Amino acid sequence: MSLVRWNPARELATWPSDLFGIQREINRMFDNVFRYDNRDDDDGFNAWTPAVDIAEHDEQYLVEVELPGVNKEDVKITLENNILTIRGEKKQEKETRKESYHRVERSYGSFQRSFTLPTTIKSDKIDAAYKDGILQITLPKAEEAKPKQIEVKVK
Amino acid sequence: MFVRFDYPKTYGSCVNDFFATDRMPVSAQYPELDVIEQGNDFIVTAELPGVKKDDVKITFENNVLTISGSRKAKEVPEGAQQLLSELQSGDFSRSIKFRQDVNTASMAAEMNDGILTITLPKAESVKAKVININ
Repeated sequence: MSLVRWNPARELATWPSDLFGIQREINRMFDNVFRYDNRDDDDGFNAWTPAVDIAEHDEQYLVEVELPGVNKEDVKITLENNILTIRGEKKQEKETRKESYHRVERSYGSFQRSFTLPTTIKSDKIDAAYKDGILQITLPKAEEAKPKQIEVKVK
Repeated sequence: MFVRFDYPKTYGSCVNDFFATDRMPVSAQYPELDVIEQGNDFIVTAELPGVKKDDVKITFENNVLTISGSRKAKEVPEGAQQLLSELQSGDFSRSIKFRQDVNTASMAAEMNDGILTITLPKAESVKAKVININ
C-alpha cells in the first residue's frame, strides 16, 4: 500500500461556492489510504499523479491524461499483460536557471499510472495523441467486444 | 504524505501576495502557478491543460494579476460510459499581487501544451541599476 500525495487544490478550486469540498476532500484523503492501491507511486516523494479520465464508448476506450507542459518525447506508453502504463517525466524548463523562485506550485518529476484493461483490446491498434497538455489514448475494442445488434427474422 | 494546508492564509484576502508568502509550500487553489523572477521580467506560468486560450482572461489592475476563465465539461456521447473521472471542469480564478511595479504596456502571454506563460517586465523604476563611482 502506498501513500498518496494529497492535492487540496483541485477540490477547492471553486471556493467559496464549494466550501463543503474541504470536508469532502478530507474524507477522501482518509478513504484514499485504503482505496488507491492501484496508483503506482513507488517513486515516493518525487512522484506526482496526473489526473485521468477513462470513458468506454461503443467502439473504443478513451483514456485522457492531464500532462501540462510535458514533452511528448518524455512520455512512455506501454501495454503488457493487459496493463496499460503511462509513465514519464515532467522537466522544468532549462533556460530558467538564473532566476529566483517566488512561488512553485506546479509539480515536476516522474509520474506513472497503470490500468488493467479488458482482454478484448486490439493492442496493435492503440493510438495516442498529445494536444493542449492532454494525452489522449484510444484503445479500440476487438470485434467480439463491440455491442452487436442481431436481427432475427420472424417466419 | 500530509501536506500543510494553511487555510486562513490562503483565503484571507483571496489575493496572494507572493512576496509575502514565499514559504507557503502548497497553495490550495487552481490553477497551480509558478512565479519566477528572471532578469528584468517576472514570469508566471499556470497549468491549464485542456483549456482553450479563448476561455482564459488575464487582467492586471492595481498591481494585481488575475487569471480567470472556465474549463468546459467534456460531453460524454450517448451510449458512452465514464469509468474514471478525475479531470476537473468549471470556473477558475487566481490573483497575485505584485509589490514591484510592472511595465503593463509590455506584458505578454502565450499558451502552449496546457501551460499559460505570462511575462511581466519590471517597470523602469524598479530595474537594477549600476551606479558608477566618479
